[in-house]
Amino acid sequence: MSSSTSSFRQEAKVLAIVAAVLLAGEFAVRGLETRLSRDMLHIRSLPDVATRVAGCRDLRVLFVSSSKVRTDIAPAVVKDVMTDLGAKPLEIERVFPDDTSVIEWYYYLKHYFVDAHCEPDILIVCFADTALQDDRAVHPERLGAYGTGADDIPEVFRDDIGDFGQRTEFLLSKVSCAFANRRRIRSRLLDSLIPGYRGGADRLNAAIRSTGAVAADQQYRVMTKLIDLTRKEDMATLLVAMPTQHGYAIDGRLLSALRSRGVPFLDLRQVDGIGDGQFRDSLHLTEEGATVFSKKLATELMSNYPAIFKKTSPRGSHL
Amino acid sequence: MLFNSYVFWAFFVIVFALYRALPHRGQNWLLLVASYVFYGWWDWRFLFVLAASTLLDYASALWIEKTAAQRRKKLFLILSVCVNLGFLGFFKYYGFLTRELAAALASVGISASLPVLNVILPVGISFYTFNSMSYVIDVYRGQARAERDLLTYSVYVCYFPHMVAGPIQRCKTLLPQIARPRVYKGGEFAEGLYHVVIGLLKKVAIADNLAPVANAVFLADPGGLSGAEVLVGTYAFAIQIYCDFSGYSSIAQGVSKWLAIDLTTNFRMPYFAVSPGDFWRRWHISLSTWLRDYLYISLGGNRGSKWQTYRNLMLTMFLGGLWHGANWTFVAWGTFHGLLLCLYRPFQRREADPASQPQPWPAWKRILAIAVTFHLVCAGWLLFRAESLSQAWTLATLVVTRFHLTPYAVFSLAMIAFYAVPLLAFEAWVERQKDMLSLVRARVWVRGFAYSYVAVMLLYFGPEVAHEFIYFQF
Repeated sequence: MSSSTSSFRQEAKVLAIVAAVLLAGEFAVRGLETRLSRDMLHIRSLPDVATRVAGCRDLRVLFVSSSKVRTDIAPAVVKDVMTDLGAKPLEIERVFPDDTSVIEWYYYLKHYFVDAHCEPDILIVCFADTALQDDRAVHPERLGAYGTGADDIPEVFRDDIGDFGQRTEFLLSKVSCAFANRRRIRSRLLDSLIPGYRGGADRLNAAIRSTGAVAADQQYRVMTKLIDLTRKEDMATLLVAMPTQHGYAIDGRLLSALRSRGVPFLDLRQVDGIGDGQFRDSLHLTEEGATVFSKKLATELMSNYPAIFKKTSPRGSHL
Repeated sequence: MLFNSYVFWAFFVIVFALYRALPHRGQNWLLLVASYVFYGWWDWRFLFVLAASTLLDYASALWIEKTAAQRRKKLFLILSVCVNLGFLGFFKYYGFLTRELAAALASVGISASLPVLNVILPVGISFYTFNSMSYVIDVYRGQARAERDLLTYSVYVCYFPHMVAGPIQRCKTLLPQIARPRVYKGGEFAEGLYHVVIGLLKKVAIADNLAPVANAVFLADPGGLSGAEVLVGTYAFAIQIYCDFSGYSSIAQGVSKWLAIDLTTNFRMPYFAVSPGDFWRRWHISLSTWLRDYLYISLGGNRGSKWQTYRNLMLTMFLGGLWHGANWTFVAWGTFHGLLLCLYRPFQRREADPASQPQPWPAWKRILAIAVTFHLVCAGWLLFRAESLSQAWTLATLVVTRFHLTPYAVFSLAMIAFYAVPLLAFEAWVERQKDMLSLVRARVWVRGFAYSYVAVMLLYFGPEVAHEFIYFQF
């Protein structure tokens, strides 16, 4: 046996130890996946949400957005106010994976609702700041593990993930739960180990993230794709601009794109009764703020779109 | 194509598979093509600069060797050095010089309209230019033979593991390895793996995670910073630049080892240095020895009077600073280190590696010397990283005038401790062992544990944003 072979065998043993450690981590993460975060629990519950939507006989309303829909919209309040204002029986469901934008919303909707034939009657896309822009960062690992099926891979690679590294991460996430959740695991561990981690990380993230400027060549391609999907599946679609603490401008090209496709748009960036005191951070509302906002949203939906929500209208009509 | 990218490793798997299947000449052709692909990945236009530099120095060395007349030899050397420095000067310093000249003229009331060119700096030009310049100088000095095979010489210049960020290789060490058929003696895989693993840990898990911690200080409005935040931000940058650069060198060394070509060690635990001189024997060794051999010694080294030695030291470090880029902060950094070397020079005999002296230094003295040297080096990093000299001054002032601990400073310090302390503890162990490859010789389970730690760090604690290697810009 040559020394080269001997050396390689020695290293193979070393690599076997590394593989065993990583495998143990993989099994541990698979076992504890839903305990990693509230967001993970929500994502894992999406098939149940879709089943509820499919089984509902009332008007099915689905809110899609990032964590803002979780914190800012109180479904019970929206439903009660709308019912009081004469809405037909309705059920509200929400999809709100953390830190996501329109690219992820498109695939979550397609994967959990359209491909599973569980389409809602009305899709309300809530957004703030730059969430509808094409150049928003994608999380390939989350999209790979939770937002897409095998059938979606050609579309993802063709339209949304062109970078070799991101494609690799996307595919690795399809096979490894540990890989897909590595950022969550890091956040949880560092949160428990590093003093003041959340505040410090927020400061670092603020420095990394974009300033919210609109790219000159913004086409709103993904948002258009999302609207086309809902059209094809006979879902009514509505866009709502949500409030943030520091406010933001709405790009004229976005409004043109919505107008050209006949998609209604509700501008709720400014709502009476919501000021600095109603924000828990720069983006999310407090419980009190969420109640104010939910009431306003319900009222606006009823007054602007009675054709779809009022009792006299047929179910599933377009807005 | 970055060493910390998936595309590089896909590229390397293909290159390695072909490499093992080819005969020696085929391996060299493969290395040439692979290196040009690797380099052209950034911008294919850079390939013309690389090819021109290669052909010029190949021909210059042959002419120098063939010519008997000393004057003509010198002429060819000057031609080669001037063209090399011309490339470097044009791409790296043209914008800086025109900007500074225009500012200087404006200050005396002359409005000059100098031609402005948006020159893209070819990645790693400083590294491969120094590589090929050293070759021509060595041939001129009679310390090396001119390489007749253009393929061998081209691979020497553009060999992809070290081309863009070093280590800068001398022709005496690298050319013979390329010219001769590669021999796998056993142990290459283990040693290469060690270098790659340590390099990835340094770059991906440590440098890229500490980059935002440092940036948050150096890109912030100084008005909102406390002295403690500046100090900790500077520590973060010290660790970041070390792990970034030595991580790159380590991966280069490991990848090259797998190709059965040895690259020189570029870093030897620099933050355990006991003096500035000791630091430069451990930091970017391939550049510091290059500057010593081709600049400091050419200027006269320490052969003249005491003051001439000081002048040579200052000039060498000044130019070493300028090599890093066209910015006054780099010049100030080089000059600062020159001053430190001059100030420490009277004590040089006494501070020569304490461990190798008949009576090693007591632990407290050694620790004190390491701490003092580290903080002096950090003062240099403050100059190096600052956006301008005035920012460096403002930040340095804050450390003295507005020093108080803030929650953010504690957070930053804890981040440094979490990411960097295990590496520093490992390096302290290697330092005690006096063997850079101690871990490769350790038991299987020890290596298994150590590599598992790295794998866990890479998997779970990778950065939010991958960063380019800092030294690519040089």
